[in-house]
Amino acid sequence: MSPESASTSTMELPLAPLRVIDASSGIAGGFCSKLLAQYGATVVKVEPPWGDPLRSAGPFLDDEPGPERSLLFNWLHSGKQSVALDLESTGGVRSLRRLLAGADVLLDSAAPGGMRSRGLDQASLEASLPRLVCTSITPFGQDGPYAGYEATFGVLQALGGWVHAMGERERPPVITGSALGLFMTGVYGAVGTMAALEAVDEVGGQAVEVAAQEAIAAAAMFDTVRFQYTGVERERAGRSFSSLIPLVGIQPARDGWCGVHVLLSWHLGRLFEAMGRPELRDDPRFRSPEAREANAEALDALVGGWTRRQDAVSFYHASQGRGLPFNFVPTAAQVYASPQLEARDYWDALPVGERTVRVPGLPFRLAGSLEGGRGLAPAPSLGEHTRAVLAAAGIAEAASAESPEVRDG
Amino acid sequence: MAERMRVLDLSQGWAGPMAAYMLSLFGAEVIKIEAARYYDWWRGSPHPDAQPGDQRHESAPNHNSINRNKRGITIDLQIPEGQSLFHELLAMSDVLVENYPPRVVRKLGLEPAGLTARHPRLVLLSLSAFGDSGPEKDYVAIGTTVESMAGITATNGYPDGPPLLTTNAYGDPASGALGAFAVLTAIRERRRTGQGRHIALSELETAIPHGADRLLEYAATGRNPRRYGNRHPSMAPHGVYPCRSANGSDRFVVIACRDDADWPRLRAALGDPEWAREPLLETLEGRRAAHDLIDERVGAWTASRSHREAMEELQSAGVAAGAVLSASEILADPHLQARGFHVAVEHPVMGSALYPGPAIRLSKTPARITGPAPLLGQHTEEVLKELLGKSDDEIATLQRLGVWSKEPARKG
Repeated sequence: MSPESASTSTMELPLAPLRVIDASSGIAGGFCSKLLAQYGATVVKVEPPWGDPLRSAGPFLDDEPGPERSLLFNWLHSGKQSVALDLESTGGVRSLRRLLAGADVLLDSAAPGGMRSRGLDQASLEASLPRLVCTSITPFGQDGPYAGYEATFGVLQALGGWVHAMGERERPPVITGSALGLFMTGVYGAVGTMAALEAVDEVGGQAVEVAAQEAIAAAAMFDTVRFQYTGVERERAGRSFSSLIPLVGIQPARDGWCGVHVLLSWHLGRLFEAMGRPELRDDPRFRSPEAREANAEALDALVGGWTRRQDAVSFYHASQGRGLPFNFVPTAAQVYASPQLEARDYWDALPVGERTVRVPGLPFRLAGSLEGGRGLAPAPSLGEHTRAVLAAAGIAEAASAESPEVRDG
Repeated sequence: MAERMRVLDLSQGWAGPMAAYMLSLFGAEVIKIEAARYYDWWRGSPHPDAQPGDQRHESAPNHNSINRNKRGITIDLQIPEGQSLFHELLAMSDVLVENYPPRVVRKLGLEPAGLTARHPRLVLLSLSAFGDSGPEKDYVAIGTTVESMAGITATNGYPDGPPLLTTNAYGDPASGALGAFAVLTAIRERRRTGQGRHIALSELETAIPHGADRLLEYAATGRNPRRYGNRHPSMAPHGVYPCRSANGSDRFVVIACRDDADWPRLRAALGDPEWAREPLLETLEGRRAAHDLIDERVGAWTASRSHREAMEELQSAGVAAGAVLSASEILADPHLQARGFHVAVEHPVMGSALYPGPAIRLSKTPARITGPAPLLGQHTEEVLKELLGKSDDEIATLQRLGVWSKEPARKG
C-alpha cells in the first residue's frame, strides 16, 4: 500500500506493480525502500520480533520515547507493511522465502555473509527465484579489510572524506549534524535496485551491492581528484566552503547567517555593486582567482563587514533579485515556514498516534500525476501485517500454529 | 541495463551531470551538449589573463570527474540551425537532462510542455533550484545554497560557533543521485505505458529529506535542533579525537560508543583504566554527564597513536571507530584499494588520474567506466555523422554558422 494522494490512485504511480521485501534496518535501507514506496511500490518491511532499532531512536513526538513515537521511523516507514519474523530461526527464514515468491526485490542490511549463511543471498535464491533482485546495503561492502568493522554515520563520513576539511583550523574537525552519508547511501541503493530491475529481462535477477563508505567517497571527488591535479590537500577553513576556493561560505548577518557564494567572476562584480562598492571590481587584489586566494582574508573581512549590517532574510531576497545564488541559513522553524515550500504544497501530512505532523514531501514530482501536499498512510506498528501478509502468501497455518518465531504485533 | 538508452545532457555544474553520469554507469549512451559561447560553468570562469590555446577549461577536477563516460558536442541553441539539430537528436533519444534557470529555459526553447508534446516518449528531467512554481521559482542556487536552504547547514558546526557548510555542497550530489533514480523510475514506467514523463525536480525539495533526522526534531518538539558539534544525543562518548600528526598536519579519529554494551568494549580497548571502572559510566546518562572527562582521557589515549592505529585497535575490540582521512589518504585507503574503488582514467589534457568508481556493484551487469570527460565539443563531428548522417559539407556549414565550435568563446 502506497501513500495516497487525493488526486491520484496508486495504480497510476510509476512503480505501482513492484513488490519489495525490505529486510533491512536503519536509515539507509529505510530511505531506499521509502523512495520506492513514494513512487508506488508495495513495500513489506520484515523486522525482528523485537523491532527495527530505529523504532527506539529519536526524535520522539513531544520528547517522550515510546514504541510508536519515533518521528524518523514513522516518516521513513509511512505506508509500508510490517511483518515480524525472526530470521535467526529456521521457521522465520522459511516464511521469508515464501514471501519472496511474489516479490521483485529483496533489500537487506545484514552483516557480510549474513544472508548467505541463511540461504537468502541472490546466488542461493536464484534457482527458485530467477528474476529476484537482491540489494544489500552495508557500511563497507561484502569483502575487503574493513568488511567486519563497526560503523556509525560519523565513522563512515570520516573514512569517506567528509570530515577532514570541515571545521575551524585550530579545532578538531566536525561531523555533520545530520546523518547525511546514510541518506546518500539509501539513494544509491534505490538507483542500483532500479538499474538491476531494468536488466531483469536480459539477465534475470542479480545481486546489487552498495557500501556506504564508497557512496560517501564518491562525493569526495571535489578533494580526491583536485589533490591529484594540484597536489594540494583541502584543509579546514571555518566558515569558508573550502580552503581552496575563497569566498564561498557563511557570513554573519545582523540577525543570523548568510550564505555568500562567489563561484564565478561575475558573482563578485555584482556583490561589489550590491555593497555599493563597484570600484572594487578593478581592485587588483580580487581580479583573478589566484589574487582572491592570496587576499582571501581581506575579502572575507570586507564582505563580512557589510553582511553584518544586513537582515539575513532581506539579504537573501535582495541578492536573488540581482541574480546571485546567495541565501540565508534558515533554522528548522524557518524551513518549515518557507513561503516557497508553502506555495508548492511541499509538506506531507503524517499521522503519528493521535496527531498529524508535517513531514518532508516528495523529492521530485511527476507532472500530471504526482504533486505535493499528500496525506500519508501511517507507519505500521511492529508486526501489524504479519498475519495478513503470511496468509496471503499461503502460510496462515504455519503462522498461527507451529511457528513461534512468527509473531503478530 | 540501459544498453539502448540514449541520454542528452544539457545540464551544467554537478547535480544534472551527476544524474546523467550515474545513468552512463549502467550502459546509457550519454551525449553532453554545451555551447562554445556558454560552456559548462563548472569548467570555470574564463581567466582574465587567458591566452589563445588556454586549457584551463579542460582542467577542472569536478567537471572532469562527473562528465566521464560521456561524449561531448557543442550546439548553440540560440541559433535556429542549432535548434533544429538539437531536435533531430532529441527525436532519437530517450532522456533529456537540463538544469537551466527558468529565464534560460525560455530563451532556449526548452519549456517542458513544448518538448514533451513534440517528443511524447521523452523522459525529461528538469532540475531547478527551488521548483518550477511559487514565489521563489526564479531564484538561483549552487549546491551550497541548496544545502543551507534545506536546513542542513544550520545543524552543522560547533555548539558555540557559526553554522558550517558540509564539504561537498550537499544539495548537488543529493539531487544528482535522486535525479538518476527519477529517470530510471520513469523509464520503467514508460515500458508499461509507452509514455514519457516530465520529472520536475526542485533541488531544495530533494535535499530536505536528507536532513530529516534533525529537521523532524522541530516537528516533534517545536524546538529548533541544536548544533551538537561532535557529540550525539543517543551515543556517548561520541567524538573526534586527536591523534599523532602526519606529514606535518594534525590527524584525528572518530569514536562512537553506540550503546551501553559498547562501553565495556571501549574500556577494554583503552586498557581497562581505573577511571573508566566508575559504575556511573555504565549508562548513557552517566557517560553524557561525564563526557568532558571521558573526552580528555580518550584523547590522551588516541594522542599517542596514529589515526589508523587508533581505529584498528578500537575496531579489533568491536568499537565503531574511523580514521579521519584526507583526500590523499582516501586514495591510499587499503579497504577502498582492496575493493578497487578508485579507477585510473586517462584524460587528454590532465593525463592519468584516479577517479571515484561506481559505488553500486551489480553482479551480472557491472557498472562501467569507459572514458574521460570530453573536451569542449570533442565529439561533435563524430556524433553528427554517426547519429544524424550529416555530410562533411553540412558539418562545415554548421561550423561556419557558429552552431558548433571547439574553441571557447565565452565572455566574462
